[in-house]
Amino acid sequence: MELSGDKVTYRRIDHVERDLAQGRRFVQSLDATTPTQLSGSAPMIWDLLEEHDSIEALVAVLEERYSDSRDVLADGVTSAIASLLDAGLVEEAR
Amino acid sequence: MTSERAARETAERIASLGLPGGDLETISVDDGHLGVLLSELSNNRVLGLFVSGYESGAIESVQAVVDEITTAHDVVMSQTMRIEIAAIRVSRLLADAGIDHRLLKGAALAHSVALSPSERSFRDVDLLVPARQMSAAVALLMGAGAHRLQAELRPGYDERYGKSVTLRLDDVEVDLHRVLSPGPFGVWMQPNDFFVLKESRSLGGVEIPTLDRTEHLVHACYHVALGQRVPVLSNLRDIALLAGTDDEPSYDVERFAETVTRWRGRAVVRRAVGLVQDRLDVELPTALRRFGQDPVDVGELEAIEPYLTDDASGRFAALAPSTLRALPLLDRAGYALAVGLPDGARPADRVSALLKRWR
Repeated sequence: MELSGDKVTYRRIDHVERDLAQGRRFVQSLDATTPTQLSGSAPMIWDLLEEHDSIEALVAVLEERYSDSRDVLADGVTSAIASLLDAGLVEEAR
Repeated sequence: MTSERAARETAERIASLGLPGGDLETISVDDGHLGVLLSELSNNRVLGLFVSGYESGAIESVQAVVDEITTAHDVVMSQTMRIEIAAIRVSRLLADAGIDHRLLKGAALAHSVALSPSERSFRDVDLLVPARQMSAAVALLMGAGAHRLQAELRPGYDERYGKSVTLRLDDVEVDLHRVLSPGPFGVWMQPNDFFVLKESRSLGGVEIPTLDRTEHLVHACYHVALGQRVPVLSNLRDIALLAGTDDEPSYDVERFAETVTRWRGRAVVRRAVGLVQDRLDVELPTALRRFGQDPVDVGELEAIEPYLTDDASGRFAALAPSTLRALPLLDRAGYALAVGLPDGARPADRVSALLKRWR
């Protein structure tokens, strides 16, 4: 799995979702039997993935919003994408 | 005040949150009789409104109550998403087979009328299917692994007389509706009207055909007035949200009146409007309120009565005589035979069914 190359893009799979209390969100792919709970910064990354399909693009958006260093933001995004890939909610689209 | 009554009033105030002309006072919910309150909010499908109301500051409560309701809401949302996925699957199956259909009620309204889909849970999938395609739709879903909860009374009953066919697919209840209500009002309505226009909603990336707002409002009124004797609050809220306000009515006032009048459903709307005004704190548009106050045909008023039986299991029997009277003469014998002597039953069971249905 390549998470830092700028050639890799990511795509959200077809899903249903619901907002929950405390900023959490349930997301469930159409093939899954149970939802995955997103919390912390994951719902925001999930939303950004609708319009931004690479780690570089996501980090660029976050840089405009937060004062953290690019490396810190990239680590966070990379980790969130890895979790979404593991949960089957995102797929690579080269 | 009893705990049940207090819980009911709290649920009604919560169900009114954000509605036009509604109370803006903060709703205070304490931790007394939490079980009763939880049950009331759950049965009326307003757990999501509590959660969003608490987060917006419209509701204040103690942490124990918030935690309990949040957990219950999580469970309900998980179930609702599973049902939504089933709705997508069924719609795809029907579309691929060339069977026309319209998604009804909660699954459609959660994404079009509710202020947030998380505020509108639902417990089954409801689809309107043209009568001529009902058998094909049932066979298709059974081929996909669904099973019927009740056998067809006699061949052809589903397409000619039935209100709906209920199936279970992937542990989700799927109702294929021929008409929107049982009994005489089901006979008088013309559901093909709802296949003229075609709205759609995107669910899970799939475009699902549904009704437009005016048609949803007609259906919501029928569901509230002719469904359970004490309607679920979220269904009453649907009517308020679909209707909009005097400044901004959200439905086609003339088409609504024309459809309901042609379907002989003015008494239905009158009852629905009354129920909304009795239980929710909302200002309905004048046109809808006036429509509900206009004189109503006595036959329509009398036709409402059998729907209001306390005994849900006796509803079919209560509606059978008025259904028979409402049917065209040529259709009556077939209906009487199917209801009185269902196919496949043992002779003794047929007699028992006959006595039960025509008592």
